[in-house]
Amino acid sequence: MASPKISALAITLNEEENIERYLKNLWFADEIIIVDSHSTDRTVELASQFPNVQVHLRTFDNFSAQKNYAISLAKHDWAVFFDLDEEVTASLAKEILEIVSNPKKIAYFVKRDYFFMGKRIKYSGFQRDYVIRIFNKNFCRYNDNLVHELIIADGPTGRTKNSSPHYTYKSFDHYTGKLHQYSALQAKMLYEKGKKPNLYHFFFRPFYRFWYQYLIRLGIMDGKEGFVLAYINAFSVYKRYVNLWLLYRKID
Amino acid sequence: MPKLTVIIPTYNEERYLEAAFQSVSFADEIIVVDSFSTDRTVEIAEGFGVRLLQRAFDNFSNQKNYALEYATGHWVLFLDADERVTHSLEAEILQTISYPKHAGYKINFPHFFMNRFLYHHSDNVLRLVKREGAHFTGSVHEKLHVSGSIGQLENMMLHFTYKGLNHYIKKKESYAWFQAEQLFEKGKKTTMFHLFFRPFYRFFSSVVLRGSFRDGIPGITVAAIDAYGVFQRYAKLILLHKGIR
Repeated sequence: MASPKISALAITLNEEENIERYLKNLWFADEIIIVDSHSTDRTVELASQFPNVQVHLRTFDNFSAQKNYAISLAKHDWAVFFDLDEEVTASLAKEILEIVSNPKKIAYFVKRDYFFMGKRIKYSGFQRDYVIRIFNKNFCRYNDNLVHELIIADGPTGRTKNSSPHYTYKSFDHYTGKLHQYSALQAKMLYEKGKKPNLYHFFFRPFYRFWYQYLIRLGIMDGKEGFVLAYINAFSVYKRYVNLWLLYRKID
Repeated sequence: MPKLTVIIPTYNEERYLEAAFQSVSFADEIIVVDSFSTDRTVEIAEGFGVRLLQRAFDNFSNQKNYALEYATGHWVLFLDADERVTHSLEAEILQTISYPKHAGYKINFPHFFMNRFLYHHSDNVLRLVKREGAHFTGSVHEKLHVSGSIGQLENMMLHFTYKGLNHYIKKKESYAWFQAEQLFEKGKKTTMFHLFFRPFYRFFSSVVLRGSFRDGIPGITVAAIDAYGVFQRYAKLILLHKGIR
């Protein structure tokens, strides 16, 4: 019995550093669909050199819409949808093939192994960093969150045995720059919902975030890097509410 | 009336320069020392008929000392292009140099942040000096010296530094690299004490000791960002020891 076919999906913007490694690791897919947000580097050129890759250009509006568009282009029922900074290891690829040939669930979570400042972060909330990356597209869609988009799976879900190394850290400034973007987007979401910032948001939420991540989620076990991670996340929470405060006053 | 020279160092200041000239038009002489701007700075300066000097930038001390050589006033006021002398400060300057008690005067700069002046987060800087004997030293943080005592002006200088929240934070972030590299060269290593205590102390001293909470959310935010800058200095020092960014 031939196993069901797999569509591998990805969205890209200026990923020339990652794209080749990423595509090579998707050798098991029957088609690869890249939705590119008009990259200005060599992403599209490099991707097009691979035989079973289709590149579609779409202007970026938000992550959910971009990813749902990629899903809509998939030919096959089963899709794998990894980020470019996530590695599909050989053992994970083998496991995916086994899952798809005999699926018991409609979607599967993959554990991500997280790296920050050159160190594998084992605690700090990353004990349980599971994300849906393998799913039957007939039952799954991304929700409408502008950031931290999530797959909504309409049915039972499982977990893979193998994990995926997650190389989201490129440099400190790159990392905090991404957090600045998130905090601005989150402020926009709150603004559109009509939420107003108050003293609880400014004084309690950032401190709570820090202590939650550092003590309750055991960031303290990750050494100095655990402290740094808790601090920049807490600062990002504070900045979210400052951005919201500024939005109501029409200040940049 | 003693003669007053205003010295303005510039690099790509086309947005700010004209208003700066207007705010010091009471001066007898304006000298612009430009580091070869690539925008309309030079054109604007020439249009205003000020004395224009051009010099390749090495540091602020040398740049300003160079301009001092060309100054002819008895008194010199140092101004940045994004700073404005108010009418009350103008009156105080003219009165002070007519009856001087000191060789130099400090001026208070309330911090302009999130479109508001933070009166509890101000810098007090020596800016108005007798030309005779005045000179700068220091290649990183330039320091102005005078021969004689130093007094204080009461009125504040307006300083329009704010170019958006992200711009402000990014400046702190790149400055943190610079400071981390200085610590690295001295062989310093980051300890948990640095990470825990230094940012906290910066925040505490600004919000409580200097009272910046009285400036509301912008006052507290500027303190939080300053503390974040201190924190980043030590986080980046960890990275320098690992040889990564």
